[in-house]
Amino acid sequence: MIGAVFEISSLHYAYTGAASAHALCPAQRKEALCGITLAIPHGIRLALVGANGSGKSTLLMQLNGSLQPTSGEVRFEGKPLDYSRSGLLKLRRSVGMVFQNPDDQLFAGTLAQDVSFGPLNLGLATHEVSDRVHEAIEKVGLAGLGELPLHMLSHGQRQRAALAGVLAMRPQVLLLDEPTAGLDPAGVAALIAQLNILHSSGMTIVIATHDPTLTSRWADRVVSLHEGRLDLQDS
Amino acid sequence: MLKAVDASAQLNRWRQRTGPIGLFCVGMMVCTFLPPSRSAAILTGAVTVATTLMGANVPVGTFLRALAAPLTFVAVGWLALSFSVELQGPWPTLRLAPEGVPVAIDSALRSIAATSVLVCFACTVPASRWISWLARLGLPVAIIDLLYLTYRTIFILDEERQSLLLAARQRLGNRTPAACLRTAGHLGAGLLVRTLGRAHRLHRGLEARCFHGHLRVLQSTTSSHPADYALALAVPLACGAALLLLGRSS
Repeated sequence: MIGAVFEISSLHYAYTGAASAHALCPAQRKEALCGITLAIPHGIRLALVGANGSGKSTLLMQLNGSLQPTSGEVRFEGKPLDYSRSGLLKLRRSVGMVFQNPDDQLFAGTLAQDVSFGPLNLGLATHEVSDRVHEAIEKVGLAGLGELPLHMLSHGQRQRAALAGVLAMRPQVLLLDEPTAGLDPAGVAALIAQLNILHSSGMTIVIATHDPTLTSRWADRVVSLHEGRLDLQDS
Repeated sequence: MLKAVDASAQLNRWRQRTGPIGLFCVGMMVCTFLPPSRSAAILTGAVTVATTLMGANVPVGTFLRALAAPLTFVAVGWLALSFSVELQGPWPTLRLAPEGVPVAIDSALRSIAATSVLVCFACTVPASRWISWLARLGLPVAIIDLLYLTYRTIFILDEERQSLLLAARQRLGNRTPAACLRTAGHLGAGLLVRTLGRAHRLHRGLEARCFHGHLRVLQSTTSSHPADYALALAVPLACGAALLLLGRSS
């Protein structure tokens, strides 16, 4: 684990309208992230933990450029994130994100079509895309279901489908938001096994989770967030 | 009903034979417009129904349920053609229109036959395949993108509708007709808000996979045997020939 893939310094972020929401509802604090400073080394398995609304998902979305800091800086591979259209496209070739609700990510007619979306956006040739689609679907344990429409898959299968869609892009860093939500223990075990395989291939993995199994058995490092601030960093 | 039709399209015996089924349906649709109209409607309707139920193994219940909604429109049209309002006398009266009844029967039979052909297509060809087929035919990408999104959104919204409805019923939201109406209003409003939120999140999800304006995916491919195409063409041709002979003899 040499060097940091991400360096976050004095990061602040407030959702639009959050200040007025704070006036109406004190539970809605003004800033979602308050002065986060954190380095994420290459090849690490990092777990972000914290209560609902602590800022875990917001921090993940800062890492893939979905959200832009109000102040502070996020650096990827030593360079500040470029929030231009081309800059974000370049970033997302290397940083894949799996969202908490798979339906926020899946759109196509069939599983195979959905998984092919990312690789086609990378400009790969059709045969290469086809190979990657088969490989990703097999990796997540959905082999043979490629031609099924997404609404015919169970919630757990859809979560794996969303993961396959990102894996097919072969990112260097994988961000997962609550990947174990709605999974049974067998599903969690299968996911951990899958993540370990990805990690052993050199992938950096950052997870936002409530799941104690993931934090205790899987993560190399645990970062705790409380009301948008770093609370604790365990190694 | 949509789920049943979609499941039938995904699971029927001929789901891989998009091309031949498309050819068969186009041929049968043309046959429904051939003279003599009544015979054409009865023959094409019967052949289509038999092919769908016995050939593709589509469940009878699914086929009939899919046919039910369009048949309601056909029934309304049939009533409008068969009856006329008599305005002579103190009160308007409804009477059978003798000249309208044959026209009503012909148009109803023809509508039922044509609708059967459409239902046959819907119950046997998976949506992803016919959308891919349209994409290969060169339909504008914006329309293809819309078709994919609409197809996916229909089922997401249906799931949300079911969960919202269940939650409302758990809290006795359907105890009176007035409460049902109120619940339906809340449901519609809730779905609209959820749809907007979901659209925003989906856009973010797509951007995370390098979306840059076009929902490009690998199109489904099918490789049907030439014999399938020959059979798919032979049946409508045989129907057409039979109708031609019937027309000449009558």
